[in-house]
Amino acid sequence: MITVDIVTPTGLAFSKEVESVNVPTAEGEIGVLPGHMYLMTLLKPGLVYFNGNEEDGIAVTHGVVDVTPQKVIILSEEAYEVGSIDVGEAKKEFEEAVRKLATAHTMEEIEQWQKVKEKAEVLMDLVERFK
Amino acid sequence: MPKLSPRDIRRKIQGIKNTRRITNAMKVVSAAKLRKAQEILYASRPYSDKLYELVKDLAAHIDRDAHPLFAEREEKSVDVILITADRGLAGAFNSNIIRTAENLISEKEEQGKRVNLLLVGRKGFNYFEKRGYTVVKGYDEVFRKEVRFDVAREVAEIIRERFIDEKTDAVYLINNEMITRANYKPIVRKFLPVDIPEAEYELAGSVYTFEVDEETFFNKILDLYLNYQLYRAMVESNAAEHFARMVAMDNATRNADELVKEWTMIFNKARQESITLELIDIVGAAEAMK
Repeated sequence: MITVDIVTPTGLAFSKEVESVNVPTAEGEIGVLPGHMYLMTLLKPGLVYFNGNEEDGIAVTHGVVDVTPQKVIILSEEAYEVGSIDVGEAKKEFEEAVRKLATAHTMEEIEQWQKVKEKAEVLMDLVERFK
Repeated sequence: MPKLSPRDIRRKIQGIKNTRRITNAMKVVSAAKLRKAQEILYASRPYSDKLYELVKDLAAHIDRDAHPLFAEREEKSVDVILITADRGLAGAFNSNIIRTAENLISEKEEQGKRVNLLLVGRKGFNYFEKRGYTVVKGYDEVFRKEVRFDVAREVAEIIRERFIDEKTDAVYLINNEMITRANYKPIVRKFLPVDIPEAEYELAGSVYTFEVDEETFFNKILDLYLNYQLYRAMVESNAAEHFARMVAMDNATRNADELVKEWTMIFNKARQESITLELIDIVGAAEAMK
């Protein structure tokens, strides 16, 4: 068993012992079993799911992942159960991001809104997928 | 004290009662705000605890000397980040922490160090701005509705830049913190260079792999860590502020109650006195008519 903690700035979103966990990272997706090697990487918006069961996942956004043989810590900016994602909100954010991207001037702005756009897109996709 | 007529006294009592009504209302409002602030505070703790754990894991595996934010230099110039409230009427909340800051500043100045200030919250800004201190930047209206993360991020960024450019050699953070649910006090912390204890556990032969570029990753984590530390300090201060105001207003309400009691007594005495005087008059007059 391996302990998985998902935390966001607004609280602990998930904490449980599981057999395995799949995490979306900057380089793709990683599957973690107990005794995994030490690994740290960036989190990408997507679905974290446990014991190979995609139905019961937690949607995460940008952040970092810390894997040790005993535990997985996921720090995410936001985290939702798929069922409680606010699609309207995601859509609004997506539209705003597209608008801002069209008028963005600096690299930083573009980067920032690109992130928002990516996140909103993923959230909307997830809702669509598990409807 | 000049002698007051019963009517003046009654007016005074009414005045005190009005004040009491206001302080009582403020107490109730503060209690509600405190509850909300505490919720945010408790919700933010797991994240900062885990973030700390992560940074500790990370710090155990990297070469600290290679990173500028870990650089221990001789303190020639010192920055102080002070977090106060925007508003007063909270007992000794602001004055205590301003005194703590002044003590630290004068201690550092006596050692011949230059001190620059970054002030979050109007009260501290107003105080230090007038007194000829070097203020890098001050922030107002930070705690209006909710604690503003963007302010925390901005301050952290300024500080980071100043530290890396060697404009400052050490940064201290002063804020009020809830020690227990019913107690707060000013806390002084070293903010930079990053102060993380060596890992207690031996990670024999275990080396972290990073999927992404190690340095960018590490910078990113440290940025996040500093931003969040500052944010947490602000959240703590915010909860402590509402707590302090609630206590202050509770005391004020109780004082008002006491004053009303006291003045009612005086009023009764004065009324009795005038009755007695009138009686004496009447009796005297009756005696004279005999």
